[in-house]
Amino acid sequence: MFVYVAAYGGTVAAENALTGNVSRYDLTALPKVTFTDPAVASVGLTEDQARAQGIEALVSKLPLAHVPRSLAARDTRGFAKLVADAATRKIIGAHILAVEAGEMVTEPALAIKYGLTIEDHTSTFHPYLTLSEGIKLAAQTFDRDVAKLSCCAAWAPTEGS
Amino acid sequence: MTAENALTGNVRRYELSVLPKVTVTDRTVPSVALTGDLAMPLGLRLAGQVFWRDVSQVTGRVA
Repeated sequence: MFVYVAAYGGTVAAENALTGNVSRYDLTALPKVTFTDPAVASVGLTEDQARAQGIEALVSKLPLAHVPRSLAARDTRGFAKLVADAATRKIIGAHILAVEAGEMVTEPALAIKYGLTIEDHTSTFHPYLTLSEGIKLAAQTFDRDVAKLSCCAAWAPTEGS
Repeated sequence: MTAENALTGNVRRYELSVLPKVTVTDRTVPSVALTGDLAMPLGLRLAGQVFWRDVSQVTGRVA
């Protein structure tokens, strides 16, 4: 990850040197992974960091015991936690403890980079029996108890869709 | 969606263009949206070429 960040920083520095400081060095959507077992992956703000910045934070925390893939793999250790801005419902942080947490964190990283909302996640199909489904279920957890949903009641449309 | 449209006047559209599919084999085969062959009849011009990347060249997979 140091290599990617250094390459990014070098690119921004070179561009700014040649084009007049128009590019901004922005690490708000930088994912971090600790390769433990289970792994720890994180991107964006924690709820404490959000509140320290004056953001009213919504938090959802989904134990992996609610993710079908984790149940099938008989490894339900961990959770997926999402943090959203209450005013805009945009995702601003994700913190995951899971066997493949590093593979799961890219979706919330994209969400943070491109300003996706809770509803953008819940209205997007996620493949069944994958850990990435845990991100969608975590997004649904903001507004409902996913333990009470059947597998097929997961659809949550965006406004106007 | 059928129920919502029945009650609210057909405002929602059945949309599967970004439906991911996974064949849970070893190795798994996921896929979403168009192939190059499906895109061209729709009049879409492919940007660049289609890349196939040998996963052995991906650092994380080697590790």
